Amino acid sequence: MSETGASGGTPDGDIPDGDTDTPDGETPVPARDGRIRRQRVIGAALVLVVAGAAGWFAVGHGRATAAAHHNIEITPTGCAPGWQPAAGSAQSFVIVNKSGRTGEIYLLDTNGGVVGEIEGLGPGVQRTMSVPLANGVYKWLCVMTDMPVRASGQGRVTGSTAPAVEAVLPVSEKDLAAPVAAYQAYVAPKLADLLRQVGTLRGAVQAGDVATARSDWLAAQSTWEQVGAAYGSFEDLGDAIGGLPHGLPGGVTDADFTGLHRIEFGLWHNEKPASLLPVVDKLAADVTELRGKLPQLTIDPNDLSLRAHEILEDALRDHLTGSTDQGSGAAFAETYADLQGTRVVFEELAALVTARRPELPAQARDQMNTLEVALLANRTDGRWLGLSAAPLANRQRVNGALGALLETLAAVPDLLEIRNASQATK
Amino acid sequence: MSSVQRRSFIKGVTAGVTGTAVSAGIVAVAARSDAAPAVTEQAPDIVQFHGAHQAGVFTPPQRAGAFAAFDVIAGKADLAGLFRVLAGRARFLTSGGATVDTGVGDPPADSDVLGPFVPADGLTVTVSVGASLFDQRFGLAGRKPLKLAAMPTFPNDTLDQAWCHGDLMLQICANNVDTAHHALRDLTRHTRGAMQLRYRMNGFQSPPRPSGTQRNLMGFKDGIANPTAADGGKLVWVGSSAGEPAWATGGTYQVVRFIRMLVEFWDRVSLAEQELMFGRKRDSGAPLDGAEEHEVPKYASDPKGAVIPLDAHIRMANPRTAETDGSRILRRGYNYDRGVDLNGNLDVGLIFASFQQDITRQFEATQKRLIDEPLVDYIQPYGGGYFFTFPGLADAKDWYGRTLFT
Repeated sequence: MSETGASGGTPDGDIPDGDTDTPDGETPVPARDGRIRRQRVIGAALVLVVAGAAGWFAVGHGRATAAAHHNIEITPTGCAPGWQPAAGSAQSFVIVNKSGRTGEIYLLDTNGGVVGEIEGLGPGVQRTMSVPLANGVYKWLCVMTDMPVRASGQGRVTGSTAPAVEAVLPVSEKDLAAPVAAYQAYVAPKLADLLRQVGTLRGAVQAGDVATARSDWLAAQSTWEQVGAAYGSFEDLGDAIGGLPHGLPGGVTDADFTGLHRIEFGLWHNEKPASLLPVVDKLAADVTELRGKLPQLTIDPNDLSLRAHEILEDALRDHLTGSTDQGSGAAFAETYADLQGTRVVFEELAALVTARRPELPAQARDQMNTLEVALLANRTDGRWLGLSAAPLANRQRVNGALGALLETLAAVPDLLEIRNASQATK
Repeated sequence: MSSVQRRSFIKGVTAGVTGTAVSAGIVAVAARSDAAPAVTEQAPDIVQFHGAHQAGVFTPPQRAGAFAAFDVIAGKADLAGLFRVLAGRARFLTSGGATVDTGVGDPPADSDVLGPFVPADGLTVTVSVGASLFDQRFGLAGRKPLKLAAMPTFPNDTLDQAWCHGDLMLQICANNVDTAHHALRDLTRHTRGAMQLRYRMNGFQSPPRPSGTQRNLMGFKDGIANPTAADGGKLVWVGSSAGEPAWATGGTYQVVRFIRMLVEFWDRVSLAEQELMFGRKRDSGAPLDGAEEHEVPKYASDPKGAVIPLDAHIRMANPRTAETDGSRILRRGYNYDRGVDLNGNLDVGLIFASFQQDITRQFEATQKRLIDEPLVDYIQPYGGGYFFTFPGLADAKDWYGRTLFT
């Protein structure tokens, strides 16, 4: 068992220096690396990444016992003029936006890392920010619309016993340009593969060979999953290609139910193969159209980091509950393809993640491997077990490995959110 | 609330618990009345987490209960880590405290279902292990508690394997439903990848109606004649001389049974027949030969069952003889009410939970006496399992099963 970050006082039964055992079992533990993160059990490696109970206590006491409020003003000409932090750990700020503009205010450490933020702060709005600060120097950054980016003077925190909130180096849109370009470069040939596979599928459907058509369908479906079209990316074309009958008034008989899942429904519900030919042809046309539009499709860079966990959130929500199954029972195969797509997206972002949380990529990769092993336990000689045919233990291993991975990946969009704090002059 | 205030509050609570234990009398077979009912006692706001035994056994039953069975999916090397994490989280949750802002690089650390300051709210987390944990996976086969086995099928059971057994049983009880929910959600979040839910059921304790022991959903007071903490050494806790592995000392066996109650059918049965089946008056809970719920039935003067039938539930379950005195169990069940059955009936029943020193001598002996009791037409046991409840955690460094691994 390896362990990183702050100890929750539980691992290995030993308590780091600086602890005080108290009668009711509270054990404030200063985080060794200055981080506060939740304690997690992570897959096979069972990395305990965090502060957990004891760390929460340390912070909680700080917050509960002190915290005088300090007004931080954003004015038309200034950002937190004359601010000074309180002595000690707990800091509670009242942010008052007197600038007449909407924007963001960030609290930065000396490295330019964000330790606190309020986004979408409207004119005249007052909000509070409570944050435990470690000893050190901090400043505010005000990024208001149509105003120059302004930084406050420095404030020094002394006498703090709190572990620092983990600072996050802000990400700019420019930082994400290369990953977005890499993702688009990945999708283009995948769509070419998909179009070819749909052509193969057409052949089997036309020949009335349902068994072959089913396996051709799975190949095409897997490619589409690998593209990682989570949560409505590609908009209407995405729905036409990979949409579900859910939400359509006519359900599976609705005219708008087209694409891969419509073909799945037909192939597993004894529809005459010939009747599916028009559906296959429309699918081919839709994929062709998407290929043509791909160069013009703008991908919101924030979506890419969301996709790092949402492709697999979809797998957990849709595939592994069986809720999207149109008869194939291909949940494990689809989840496997989703994992492959996630690996691609994650690796495109890995350098940015590493710069902000060095241990996360290795941890995520370990958990992806655990999930892959759990999934492949349901595949024999190239054939996948149906979801309902799999033993409970197999499903538990898949669900558990996926859940653990998702807890890790959930930090990616928070770490890589595009923050206007990246406009700070460093 | 400052930490100092909170600590002194805990002290006060502890003193209260001790006082209760001391004042409770020992129930002997010859006693004229059963022990004061635990259910009318209020569970304290903060139940002491550390001690020789886990909380949630003799703790007065809190209003909300959640029973969640898990299977361990972690490997052998990570099992101890799982128990450390569980202990750390349970220690925090049962004490309460502020949630924290984890910074801008993570989703929130807490769901805030209980708001930004997590109240202890009488929470207890009672961790037990099933026989399957001692199979070949973790190298613990030689350390299994003596009487731990998979729950067998009893003659009146209709078991659904999806509702049976499990490597772990978490009994999570609190003064409020949201607190139990929050605890389960926190525990699963922190242990993802190491254990996976197998089944779970929420239950509730009914308030006294109008007084005394809680009523089950058949309308009868249930759990009247329960052992008290003073009986712990004799009936509940595993001692050091029981031939059990040394690590098990201070633990206990937990039996959980999911029992569907066919309440529509039951409501079509005459009051007299209902009372003869239980052996108690429905309104007061008194035995049919008495006037008050805590009166001890006088079976010796009713040898043929003219007043309380020989096959009445209370008479078969606890014949009140010297021979059967050692088979008494500590019941700590919860009613449940969760929806509709396929036949349109209400899907309701009892989460039967009991603690005992020896499953064979106590639960099974009682259960076997009850085979084919008249009540079986109106109830349907369909799930549950046998578990061993870890001994208590000594201090802030201790964790569930520490002695099991050393």
